Amino acid sequence: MCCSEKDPPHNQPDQYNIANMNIVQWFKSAPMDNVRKQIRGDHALSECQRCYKEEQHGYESKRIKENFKSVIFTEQAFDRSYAQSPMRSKFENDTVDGAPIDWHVDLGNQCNLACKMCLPWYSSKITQHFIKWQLPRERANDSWTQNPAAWSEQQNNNWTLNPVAWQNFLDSIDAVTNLNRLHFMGGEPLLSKRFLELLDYLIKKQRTDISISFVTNGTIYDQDIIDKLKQFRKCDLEVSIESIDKNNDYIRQGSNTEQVLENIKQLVLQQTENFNIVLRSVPQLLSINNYNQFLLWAWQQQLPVQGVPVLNPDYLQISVLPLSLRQSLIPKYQDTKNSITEPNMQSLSTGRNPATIAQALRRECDAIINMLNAPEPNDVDELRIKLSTWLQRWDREYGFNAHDYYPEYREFLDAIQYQV
Amino acid sequence: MLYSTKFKIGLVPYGAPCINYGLDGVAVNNGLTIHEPCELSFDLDLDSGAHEFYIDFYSKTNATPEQAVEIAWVEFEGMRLDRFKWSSTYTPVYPEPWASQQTEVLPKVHNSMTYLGWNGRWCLHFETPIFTWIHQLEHLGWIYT
Repeated sequence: MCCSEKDPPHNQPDQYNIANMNIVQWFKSAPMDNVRKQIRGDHALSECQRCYKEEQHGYESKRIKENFKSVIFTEQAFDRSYAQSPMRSKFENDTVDGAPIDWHVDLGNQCNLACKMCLPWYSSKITQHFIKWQLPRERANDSWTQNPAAWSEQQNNNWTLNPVAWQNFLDSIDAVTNLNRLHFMGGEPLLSKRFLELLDYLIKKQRTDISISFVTNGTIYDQDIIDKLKQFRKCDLEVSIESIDKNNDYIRQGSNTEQVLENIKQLVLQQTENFNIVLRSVPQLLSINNYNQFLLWAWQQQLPVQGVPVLNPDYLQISVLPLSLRQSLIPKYQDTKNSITEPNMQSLSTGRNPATIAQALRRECDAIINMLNAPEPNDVDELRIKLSTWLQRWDREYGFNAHDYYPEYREFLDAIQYQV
Repeated sequence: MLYSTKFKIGLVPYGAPCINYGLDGVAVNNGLTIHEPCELSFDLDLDSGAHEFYIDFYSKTNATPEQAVEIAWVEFEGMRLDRFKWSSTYTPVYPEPWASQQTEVLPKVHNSMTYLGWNGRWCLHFETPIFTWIHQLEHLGWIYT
């Protein structure tokens, strides 16, 4: 239903599966009908909890961004804008016609990094560690992509390698002639041979009217791919990075921050009106010590940042740090906010609009300050034990010592009995 | 189809200017003298399409050179955004003999001018459905249709 959903809207993965049906059939299926009815109802959807939580922290959630596409101003005037939305009659019509024109596609979990906040279903590297540690390896297939064959361990949870599923996907693209946007995530899409095949397929089929976007970890720079991407109507290349300092390597294990920054600089040089670079981050306990430097760097580079705070794993949430330690960081974010010059005008900002970078970065500072001031969770002691276990497990594997990266956390790390 | 539209306009007077105002050529109030900052508030059902709210400032004379009207802000649907007041034109009535004495041609219409130092008509241009217009004015991205 949505890339931010808490749970899928069905528990019949064998039936609702890209190997068994195309995307239009799924869009018109009973579970999706039910979701649409719930959205029209008076109660908040449990599936949308993540967005609600992000909004509580002051973030512009996926829900808010998507609503703007239907001219629904969620934060400013929900009821009145919904009443005038060009999509209202479609929303209120029980009969679904047409097809979704804006797709989010997860290409499987093939990845060359093992980020500390990531999970097996997004990283084959993490999967390997989970197997080695004999941890329960939650599967990635509680969704329409589930197929025991497609998601087999040997294939790195990669449904795209199931020929039937992949052909259904291509047929779905062919069938939706007004497809507007394809957004890809992985794993690392640039490691997916299917992603590269798909670009060629779309170019060959003269479907370059589609807007392409994808999230990459920035470790791979390939000019041939960039040249292909530039042929599309629009391309947003979204680079995940948490910090411009060495703790980025601590968080994004297997990464080389200097190389990633260099790749970003090369990509920035390639920017055009239709080929844009966006920074993606997941603010968390492990980046909040110097995330302000990252925001300043983004401001200097004039790059938009799309931050989504870590809510899961819950022990990496910013609020797990002691309140006093968090509050000691607030002046840095106030200074950062003040140094990002606000244009002398009142305007709205959403998503990755390059014209409103200052507003978006200042909003990010406000959201971070909000999280630095938030009360500690009720189960904070339990979360800190989990955090300590998690960091020690990874750091022994990668030869890291958190003390080297977080001198300002020394007392806290000692208190949670972190030792490597 | 009619679209419910709420908007407010904040005015700051200099001297005690007199204005007429109205919408789409229809007068709403004639002969209003403004002594202190005030707001004009509207809650209307409007047809789909382009609309024009006007303010005619007419009381400035050689005897009242201090008079002027400033459009301080414009608010639609509770949102007070700068681009609203800039979505406007100002057609002054230049005073004589001053106008004839100018060596350069005076513009007939000024875009996005919010300080009315001469008599003349200020027009706020907007469209309904209002949220779609705001979406486009603020460059909020593409829209599902």
